[in-house]
Amino acid sequence: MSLAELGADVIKVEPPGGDPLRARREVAPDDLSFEYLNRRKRSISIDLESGEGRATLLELVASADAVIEDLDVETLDRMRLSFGTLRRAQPSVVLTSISSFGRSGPHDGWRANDFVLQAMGGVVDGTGWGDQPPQRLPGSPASFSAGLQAAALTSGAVYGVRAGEDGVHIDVSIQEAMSTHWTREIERYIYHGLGVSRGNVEMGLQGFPHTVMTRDGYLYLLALRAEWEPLGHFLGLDDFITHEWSDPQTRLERWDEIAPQFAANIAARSKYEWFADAAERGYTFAPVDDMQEVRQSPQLLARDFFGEAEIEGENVTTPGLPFTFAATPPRPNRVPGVGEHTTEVLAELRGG
Amino acid sequence: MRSYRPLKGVRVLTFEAAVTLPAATRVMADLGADVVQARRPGRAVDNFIATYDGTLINKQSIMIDLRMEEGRALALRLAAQADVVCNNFTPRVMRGFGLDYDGLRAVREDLIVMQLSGYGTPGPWANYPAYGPSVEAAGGLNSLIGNDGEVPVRIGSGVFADQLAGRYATVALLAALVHRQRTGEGQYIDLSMYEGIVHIHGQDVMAASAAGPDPVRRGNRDPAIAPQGIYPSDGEDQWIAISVETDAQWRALSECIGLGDASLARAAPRRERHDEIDEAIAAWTRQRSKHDAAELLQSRGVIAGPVQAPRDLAVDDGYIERGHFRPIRHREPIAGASWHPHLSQLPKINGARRSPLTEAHADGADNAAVLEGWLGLDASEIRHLHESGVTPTGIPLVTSTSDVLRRGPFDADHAERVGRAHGPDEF
Repeated sequence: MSLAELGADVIKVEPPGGDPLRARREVAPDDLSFEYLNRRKRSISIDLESGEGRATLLELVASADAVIEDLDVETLDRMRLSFGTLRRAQPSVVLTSISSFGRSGPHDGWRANDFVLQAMGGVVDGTGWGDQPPQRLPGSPASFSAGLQAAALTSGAVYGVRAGEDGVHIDVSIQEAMSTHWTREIERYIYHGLGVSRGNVEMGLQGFPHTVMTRDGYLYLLALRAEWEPLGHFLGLDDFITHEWSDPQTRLERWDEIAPQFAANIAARSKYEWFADAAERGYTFAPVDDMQEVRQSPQLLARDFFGEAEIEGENVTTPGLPFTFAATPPRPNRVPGVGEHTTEVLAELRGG
Repeated sequence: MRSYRPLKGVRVLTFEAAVTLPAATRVMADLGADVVQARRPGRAVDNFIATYDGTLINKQSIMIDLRMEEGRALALRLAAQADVVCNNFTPRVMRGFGLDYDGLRAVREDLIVMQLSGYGTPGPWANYPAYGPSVEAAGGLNSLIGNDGEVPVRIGSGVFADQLAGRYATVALLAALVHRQRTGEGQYIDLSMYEGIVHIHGQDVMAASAAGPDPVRRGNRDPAIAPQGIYPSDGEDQWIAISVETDAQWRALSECIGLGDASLARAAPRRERHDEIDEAIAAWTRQRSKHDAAELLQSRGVIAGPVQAPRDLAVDDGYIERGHFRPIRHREPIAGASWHPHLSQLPKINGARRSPLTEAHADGADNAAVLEGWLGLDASEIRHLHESGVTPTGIPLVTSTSDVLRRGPFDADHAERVGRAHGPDEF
């Protein structure tokens, strides 16, 4: 999806019945993952189980800079689609494979989805409150992160080919991609044997809770390395800014004494007032916004971040890329039907 | 086999701090780009960043005092030799030094310039400071973690959004390089860490926009499939993740846990009676280690995996077999060891060993090498810049052997565990 948003001509190769993810909305009508991920692409329907389909695919490969796939190994073997085969069709092809655990390793034959891969890759174990089980992250962050790694490496390899390097086979593991978001925590264990405790990470660091109710919703409070006296004053805790309270550990241990005034002060103002005033003082607070608030964020609207896609006759807000990139206009913001572009793509391919 | 370096010859000058942009330029360095961190005199690099994050690996460091006229002029001379110039300060900082896009493009028309900040420019929040966890909250992730009716949960990583925005920054920079290679045109990229968070769960924005109800906090459950959850395993704070996507997988799981109830054959009744099913699963998982239970369930076709803590991932057998860790040799021992395994930030390529890692350089350690290599300055010019304070020597990296945050779980035998799993160094 990121490559399509950047203006690449992304052709989605689907089996005659379509990508199985298309069926997800039959069981989860509100889940627009397929629609989100497949906007701006063209769809060609090819039966790769047939000789003719396989030949068509290799014709397509011959015209492509890169091939990206997330099929399982048995399917690829059955279709006889190895890197070597693709390379014979296009000698400098870049092949990027995305799989749960990578194309080698001890998890051969394991089944996985994003829920299990984020748990195996890290972060989940540290997420949640101490007295509850670890909590998953929303959406499919492990898969998205792997997808971004694939988009980046594919672009780097395409650059390399034009600069004289050979094509390559890039083997992306979703589990490994998730672990990059926990590099700090994993290395702290390797160096010092330290683990992560769920819950009040900043409570321990800064000596007050990190998520607190304001007049109109939750506020996230983060002020790492802040001096306590001005910060305590800003939070309205004038009774607790003397020297004896300056150590976060002390505030943590005697939190019961501070808690009532703290809660009352935070609740007296709106989360956006706190956010703006904190920013002015260099504190990195933030509103805990829900999805409706995100859609109306003045910052996102000022950045022209959103677009609109028509989905089943309805205009639906879609996020854009998280960066400006003027060079290449993206392709139309719509979701292709199965095989919608088969004729068009084949005509281009065959000099039509 | 030699390591893969498709970005060989690409020069990146990066005014960077914290984690997010350094994570992006680290990937470029691993792919063979010549990455020079331009640091400013001031506070030493945080120990977390220098030692654990690994974001300074494979880079050179030059220190320039941008408060001096000569320092700003030197930065522009370096920029003229660069392919990419980027920074992750709030936007007013580089503008103040005349090193924003207009200033940089004046010295090299086809430069690729990236301005990375918490909320992006323009906009009312453009100059608001942010760390990763701030934008995770503002971007709607926290509102979807945990259980409905309870306080929203923050993500249990200090650098989730940082690493994510770093990933987007890599995509943007590499796409810009491809574009320049084809057209000769430069690029201005303004990246918002906040928007990276919204983008990674864009389907929730779409759901909120469509006729459907707002997404809510569902804990570990799924709106369609059931059961799905994180269940207690044998041992202290040990957990297993299990996700049943199909009725066939449910049959396999129910046979394992001994819950023969024909009325649960379909997902709808399983969603209704999720609490009851969770209790039955937990009664079974409590009696086994998370690894044994995952192996057994997987052998029956059930989607399951251990919830891995840092102590598990540090010795993950798949990671070790696939060479996901590479050794890094220290100039001075850290925590009593001359080297440690570090997570690779690249996938596996052509089945070969992943790119080698060179330890972080102290601020300004490469002043002379960069001035000579990029600008062709001679020894007396380099000495002049040093003596006049334009390119001062930096503060040595703090790579402490203790850690102020020693709370929570701690393994005294970690060095033996890690050493046993990783074996001897292979440089």
